[in-house]
Amino acid sequence: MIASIVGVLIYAFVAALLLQGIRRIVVAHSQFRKGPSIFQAFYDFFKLMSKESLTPNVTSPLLFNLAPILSVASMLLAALIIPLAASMSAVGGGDLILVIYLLAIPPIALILGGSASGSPYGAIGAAREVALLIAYETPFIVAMVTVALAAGSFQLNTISATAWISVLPLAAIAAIWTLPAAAAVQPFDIAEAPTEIVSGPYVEYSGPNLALLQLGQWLKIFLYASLIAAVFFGTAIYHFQPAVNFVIQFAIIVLLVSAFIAFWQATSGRTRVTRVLKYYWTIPTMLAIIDLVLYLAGVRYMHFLFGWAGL
Amino acid sequence: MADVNERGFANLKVPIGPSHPALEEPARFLFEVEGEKVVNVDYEIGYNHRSIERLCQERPFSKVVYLVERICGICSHTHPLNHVERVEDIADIEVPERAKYIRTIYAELERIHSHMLWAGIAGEEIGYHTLFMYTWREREKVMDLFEMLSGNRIMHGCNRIGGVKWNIAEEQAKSAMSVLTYLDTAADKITKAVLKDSNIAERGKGVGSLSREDAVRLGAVGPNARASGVPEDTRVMCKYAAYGDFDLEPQTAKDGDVVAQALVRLAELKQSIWLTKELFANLPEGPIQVEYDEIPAGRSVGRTEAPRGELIHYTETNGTRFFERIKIRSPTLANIPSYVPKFLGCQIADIPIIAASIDPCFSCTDRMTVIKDGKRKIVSARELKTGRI
Repeated sequence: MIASIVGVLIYAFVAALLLQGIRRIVVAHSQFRKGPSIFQAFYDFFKLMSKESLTPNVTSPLLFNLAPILSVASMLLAALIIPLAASMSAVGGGDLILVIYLLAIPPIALILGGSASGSPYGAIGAAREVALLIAYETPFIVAMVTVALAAGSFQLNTISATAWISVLPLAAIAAIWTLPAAAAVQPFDIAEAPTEIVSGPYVEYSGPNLALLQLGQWLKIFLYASLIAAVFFGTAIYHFQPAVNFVIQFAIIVLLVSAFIAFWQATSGRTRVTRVLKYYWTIPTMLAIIDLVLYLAGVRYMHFLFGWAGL
Repeated sequence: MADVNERGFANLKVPIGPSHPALEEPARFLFEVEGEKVVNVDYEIGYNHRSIERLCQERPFSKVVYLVERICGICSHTHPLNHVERVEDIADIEVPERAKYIRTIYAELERIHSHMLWAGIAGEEIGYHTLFMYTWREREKVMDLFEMLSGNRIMHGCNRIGGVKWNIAEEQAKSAMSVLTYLDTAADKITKAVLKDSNIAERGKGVGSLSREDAVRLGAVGPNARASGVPEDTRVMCKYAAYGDFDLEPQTAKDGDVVAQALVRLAELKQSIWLTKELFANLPEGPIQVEYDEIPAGRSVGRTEAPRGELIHYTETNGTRFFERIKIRSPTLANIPSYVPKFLGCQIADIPIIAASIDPCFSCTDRMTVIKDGKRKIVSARELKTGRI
């Protein structure tokens, strides 16, 4: 039990940081660059951990220093609940609602830390993060609830027994569509926006605090993609040796992140805050709602179309 | 002190600069924002005074050419070009045709790389790093071309009083032509990437617009004025160097917003590539330099079209080896007032792209500001010379 918990936590840490290295290399290659080393996120993390953490004197120190810890702690907990490279969660049955709440904590930590930092950039960044969170959580939650209703359970262990993309493809599209916003990269890096608000909430953070805040964000990208992979692609594929399972899962996440985060990041500029709401509340939310309504009305269109995978 | 809006809240004041990721040069803007909307703006320049004008008066003629070249790293040809034309005007030196053509070639290549640089920076400001990487990669071709022609990428040292220093060989012209043909297709690609992108259109349409009346009233120059529909191009109006031999049409757009600025600059990019090709093809034979005896006392003022707009040099000589006075008005200084109507009412997200849209070069603008006891002071020429202010 303890060994598997430690194993999952180490896997999540290493995978999240490696994922950043791979994402940066993918983006670099689409920009005719070589890009940094694949281990760059590790170098950055350990360098920052060895530095001094400063607390500006205009801040609320408790909130300011708590935010990074909150961010990482919630993500480590989520790593134990989401089925990572296994058909079961490391701990318990895996409650979907709890995971959705935990995945919202790193942005909330950013909002708290940004507001507490006493910098106007942090305050604007926090306001933008709120807008971004509301925008992408809506289609994501509708999609997840649709799946939970279809599965008849909120337990991830039950839900992930089926590859739900074959039953509810529109909900899957809606959930995958929220990946770039959850990763907060272009076009949705509005809360950081280095050229506009100097990295927003991050601006007053330094040293270990900054490292933890970033680690929380990186873990979130990995776990968010893992949740989508577990729910929509199922966990039935993980029936090999643990090492092979880890490789398979990591490959799926890398594909998701390269195709839907790195590709968008490389091919678009930063969008405006007002457009994010409009963007996520129209097509992705509609797709998720259509699937929800069709499912509740008893229409199994995938069954009609292809004659398979119907429940 | 903080202004209070109608709901009783103090507006947030967001400083941008003098050191900020969106501005690579020192200028300070203080924005008063209501939510994400800018309601007031104040700007301050003068962080990078380098005593260029004073230094010009302390050096012999031959060295001043190299000094004015170092005013700007991007307009490193048009400053000395304007300067030597002023001196030649005072001393009545007739420059050979071939030298005029070579000067024009450098001036147009400079415009090409400057406009490419602008397109990249504008992409960077809205977070479009791929556009930045692409345009700057193509821009390297122009820099390599400069290196082939003059031996230097940035400081060409091409101009000198009475002509130019570097001749252009037959093979150089030939390989330059092939580079220009390549750049022509690259310019088409950049234009397509900028104008077909829905995100750029959404970020740029109606953002930072400047009406024709405002552009004229605030004295905007160069592409900034042309984007607002003012057909003002010093190359066409003054016909300096070899520009008189070619029919140039000032490239204009209507709205003065970011998209209009991009339209004008991309059209000029194409125009400059065409013009450079024509110049290489019609390069006249002959010497590239004439001798001159001495520079008499006199004064001259003239304009050239820098990539950022109209550049004014005023030069006064007194019959010695030194200049009596040199006054330089760089184009960005004329364009800064047009920031105010552009910024008012915009979103915070649009500040960097609007700031970048006029292609600012703040460091080049700082000539002389004397502030004593918190008040700005006007300084007479005599005080300036003796240094007792």
